[in-house]
Amino acid sequence: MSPSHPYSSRLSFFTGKGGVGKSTVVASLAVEARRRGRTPLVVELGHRATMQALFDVEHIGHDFVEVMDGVFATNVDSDRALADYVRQHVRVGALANRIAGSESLRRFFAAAPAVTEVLTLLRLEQLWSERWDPILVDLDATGHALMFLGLPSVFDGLVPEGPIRRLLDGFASLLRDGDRSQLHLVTLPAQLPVQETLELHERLKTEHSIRLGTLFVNRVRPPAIPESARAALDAAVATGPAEEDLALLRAEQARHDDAQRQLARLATIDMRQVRLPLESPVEPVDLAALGRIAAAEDDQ
Amino acid sequence: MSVRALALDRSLVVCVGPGGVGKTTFGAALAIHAARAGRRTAVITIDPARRLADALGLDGLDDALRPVGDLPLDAAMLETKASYDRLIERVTDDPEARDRILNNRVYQSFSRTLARSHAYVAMERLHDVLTTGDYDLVVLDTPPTRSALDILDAPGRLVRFLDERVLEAFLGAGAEGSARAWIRAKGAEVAMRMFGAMAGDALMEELAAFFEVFFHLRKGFAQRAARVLRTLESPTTAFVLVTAPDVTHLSDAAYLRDGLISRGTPIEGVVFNRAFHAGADGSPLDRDASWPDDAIEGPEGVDVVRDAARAMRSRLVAENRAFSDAIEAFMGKLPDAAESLRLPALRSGPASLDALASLLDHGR
Repeated sequence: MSPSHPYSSRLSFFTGKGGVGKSTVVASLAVEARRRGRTPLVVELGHRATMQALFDVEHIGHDFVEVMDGVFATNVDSDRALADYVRQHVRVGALANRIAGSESLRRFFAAAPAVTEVLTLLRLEQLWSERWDPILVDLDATGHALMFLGLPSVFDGLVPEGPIRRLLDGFASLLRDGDRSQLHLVTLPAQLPVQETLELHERLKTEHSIRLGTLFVNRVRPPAIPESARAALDAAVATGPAEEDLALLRAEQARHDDAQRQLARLATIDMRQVRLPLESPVEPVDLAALGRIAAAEDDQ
Repeated sequence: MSVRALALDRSLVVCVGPGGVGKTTFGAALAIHAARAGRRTAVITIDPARRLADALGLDGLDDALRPVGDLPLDAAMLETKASYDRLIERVTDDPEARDRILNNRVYQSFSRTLARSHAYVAMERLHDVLTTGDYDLVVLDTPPTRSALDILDAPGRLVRFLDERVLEAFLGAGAEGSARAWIRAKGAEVAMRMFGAMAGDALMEELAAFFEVFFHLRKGFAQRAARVLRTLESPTTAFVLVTAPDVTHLSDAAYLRDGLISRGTPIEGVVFNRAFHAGADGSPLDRDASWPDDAIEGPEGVDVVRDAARAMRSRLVAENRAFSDAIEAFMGKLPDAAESLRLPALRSGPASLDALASLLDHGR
């Protein structure tokens, strides 16, 4: 297996511009990992509902939910992560409960920035110590991902010692170790997502030491017509109501050609690339089928 | 009331929706629509695509409001760090206190890097624009789904945090003294000691310094947050949900819809972008092809072209039907007063003010 394959390290992060289908890629990889006999865990951060909809389950919260046979998911809930942390570190049960149950403290943490992110790390550390393999973390849009991966340096100097420092150091060394963790990117073959991906890739290479895994290009549309009929499409002349339909077909072919140009721009990125087909906009996603393509091992 | 009419009637329209559905573009189009009708309008965008930013004359360097074309329209984009700095400069009269905050490392880290900062900044910037009194209408764009709820929660969360009773728990009852006092204060003592042990002295010192300044500013923050909260709840504000009718975006939008409903926030309009494939006359394709083979002529391979053209049309017609059903099911979960606006699948994003304005004309 390629070292950049999402199953070749236990911890995989995924990011990309909003709306490119990150969650679909993550969910399909989890389903395929299970088919191969692994114990996948999908981790969502923050207010989200995408995974719930993809797996058609009521709710994914802090406690693990078996979203499909043998596929588990959790949503990092910072209130619960805080309570867990307090209970681990304060030995006296009554005192721990008083702190964890303190409305003031909860409000303080809900308003204080960074706390959520640190608590997320605590939760990831805990998940790392359990049996899951792979752990697939669906990070928010690119800005949030960069901030999250940069957490250890945000706190540089501010937190020189103590448990949080150890947590941050542990996270930093996990991120530096390509055998244990990788970051995968998801994009679309369209102008803006490609531009953002090129910029993100550049920033990641210069500012972060995490190993870059696979670049997933989602929703790659097939040609509207076989290549052998391409000349006929260009030369065809329509009359009457057929004019409209010929124009629709040519427009679709033009979208395909444009997507191909965007794919060519992505070729400058030195990451393993996997292309995923355009899903029907009106059918629920077939995660099993998509997962097989997403996890295919032959390089394209 | 139709979505277009909302722009002519209300003083604040908040656009919420999942990522990748053209929310920012729609917000700009709605603002232009209102400005063309003579309303003094401001649009606050978040992360506009380059072409849209160019069309609105935004260079992305700061968060200032800039006039757009020769319309009574100003546009600004939120830039977290710049907005935060301006906020601090505006709310602190004392230059020394201001510098203490701006140079505080906790402040620097948080204002630059932390996702949730965005929510506070959006709220403050909104307050800023609302209180100028210069505008009949403000159109507010929000970040994609998850954080959109954060933005709506931010004023309330801040008000609750700044609530005297909560602050007292940190500062000690009746404490008007230094922020260091609250770390020692009774209510939060154990928690803070634990937090201190976790975080270390350096962070605690910086936090204490930050809160010491913040402590004196809290009334202003709380007042502004309360005012924004009142505005968001006022009948002169409308929430418009922007989405696309495909399975993935609709499920994200349904989450937002239900989140808003459970907050008691009425959704008055739903915009479905790329809601239908349009024919040459702009209306939705609704019938399969029915033309004879000789309607398309050409060289060898033309039979493949004919079949592909018919199949293409069938697919688009079938999608239109499915979109339409999905839209009706989605609207069925909203009160009858909520109106929908369906925009066609456009070939490429609008790149000029005229193109933006005409975007809404193709809706139905």
